[in-house]
Amino acid sequence: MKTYSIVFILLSLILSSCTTLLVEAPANNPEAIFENLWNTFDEEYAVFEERSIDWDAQYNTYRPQVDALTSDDELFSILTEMLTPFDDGHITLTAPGKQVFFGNKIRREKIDDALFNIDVIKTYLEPGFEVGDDNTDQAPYIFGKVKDENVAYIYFRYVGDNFIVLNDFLEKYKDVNGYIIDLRHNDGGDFTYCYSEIGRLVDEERYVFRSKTKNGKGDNDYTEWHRWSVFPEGAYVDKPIAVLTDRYTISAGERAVMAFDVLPNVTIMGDTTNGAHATLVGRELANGWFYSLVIQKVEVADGESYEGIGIAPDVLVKNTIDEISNGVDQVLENAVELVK
Amino acid sequence: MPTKFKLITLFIFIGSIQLMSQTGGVLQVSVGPSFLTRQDLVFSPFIHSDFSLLNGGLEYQKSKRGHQFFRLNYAGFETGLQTPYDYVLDDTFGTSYPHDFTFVQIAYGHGFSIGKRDTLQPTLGFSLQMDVQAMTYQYGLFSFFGYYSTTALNIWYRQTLPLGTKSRLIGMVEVPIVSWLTRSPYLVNDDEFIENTYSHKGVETFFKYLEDGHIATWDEIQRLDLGLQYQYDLSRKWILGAAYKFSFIHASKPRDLYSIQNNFNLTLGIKL
Repeated sequence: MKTYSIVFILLSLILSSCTTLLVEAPANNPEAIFENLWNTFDEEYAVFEERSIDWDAQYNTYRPQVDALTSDDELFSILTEMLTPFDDGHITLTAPGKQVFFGNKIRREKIDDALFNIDVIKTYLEPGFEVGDDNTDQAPYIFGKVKDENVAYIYFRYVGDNFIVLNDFLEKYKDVNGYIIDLRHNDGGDFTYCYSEIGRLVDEERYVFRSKTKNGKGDNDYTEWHRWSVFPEGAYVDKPIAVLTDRYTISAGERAVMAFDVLPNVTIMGDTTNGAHATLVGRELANGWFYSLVIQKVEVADGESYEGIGIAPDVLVKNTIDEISNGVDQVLENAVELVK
Repeated sequence: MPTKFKLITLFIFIGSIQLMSQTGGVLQVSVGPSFLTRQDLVFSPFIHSDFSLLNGGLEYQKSKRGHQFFRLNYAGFETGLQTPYDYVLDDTFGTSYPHDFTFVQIAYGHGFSIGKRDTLQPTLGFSLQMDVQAMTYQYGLFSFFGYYSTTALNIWYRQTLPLGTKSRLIGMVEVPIVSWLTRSPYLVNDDEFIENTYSHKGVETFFKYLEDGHIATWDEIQRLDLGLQYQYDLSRKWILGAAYKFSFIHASKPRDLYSIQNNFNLTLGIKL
């Protein structure tokens, strides 16, 4: 029985000591929450330089504004003020009952949001156009033939499994003179769906961009550069293509634009993309709030980083409120003229 | 599927089928609550805890000519720092969700009696064990998939303490000798992680994640499983019991992971 007593005591010691091994978590008070968020950005955010942010200066400005008595509303306000200069479409802060904070001013203030209207686009399409899943403005894709023109049009609201219809679209409209691929207001998602489905539009292997991800707390702790290319697959479609973009084309939507941009028969039309295309990651704070930040550097095929800048179109065209209000999508009409 | 994982899976299945084709074993079902305390610095600096009833297992064991077992365990947890809440997204409301963890374990073991062949039946053996832990971490607008998996060669020790003619206490301790370890990258995802999803096929992606692993020993991963089970023979065929199992995991790379799981199960066995 003595042996069992010793075993029991040893087991009790092991079990009770396990929880003490855990790393001390940040405390749930305003100062600790501020420190936790600031330190996480300091160790994990990858594009301070591209965004021209002096993070230490931000600390010196905003840390003194937080003390033990800072309310939730005040803390939310201080944190969002500190994050505003990034103007980063991948930075968000989410708290109970509050409007989600978007780091990007265009997204936050809905600047030019109304210059894109899916209902206006539908009026350009022949009856019987296809709408993915549901017939709302949240439909994952819409495609059809442009009225009175031998041009096919497809809209992707995000980049994901909706891109699988790209080949159906190309097959259905294989006799048209040209295609319009609309990535305006594209929310992003998983760019690999675009890269895996784009094969019929690719004539030869083409390098698109390279990226590297933070893998340590130091400023220079990154993985090796990883090259991303697109590859031909299936019968090549050698026709003019217009890819439409705007300031709400973001994240994986921009990576899709990068892929189309390296194809010789593609013209990018519209407005510059958002300029937030490096991978993001989510994080949580001790009080249950959530935030997101960017953990990658990206260089496109020309060797430049467009983080914070966006991918400029080959042809700059912007709708006006008056045009949209009158049912005119000038960007789409320009694209039709280009590829018809 | 990489060849090495085909072989491991094949080995576990052949062992299991061979074991279950024999008569004289016990098939046991276990269900009961589980308590999880987990801290994975890849995803969060915070400690996540949950009490879950979604915990159970199936085990077949045979104790002639040593001891063999095949077991399959499942546990599911939902945990968050705060209760889910609503936030405002443009003109609509969004809702936060708790993190979701799913743990599956499959193992085949074979051991031999050591020491005196008395009623204590001390047994020492080896097992091949695969743990797959799939996590979905929710951060309001965004959710991220994470994974942890080990395929380990374990050493285990088992001992029975008779408590009369109809009941007994069985203790077992199990630790890995060497493991094939694969985890989410340092900051949840990176290019290699994304490249692995390129096929958009779940099984293929899963095995690509496994393939990205590496051999790990005790300097990188420490795991300890302790089990204590009370069994009572209801009849010549049925065995009722209660079991406690403690599982501890610490993996240090790419960032610290601590997982402490305490299971309290009711067990029902049938002699086949």
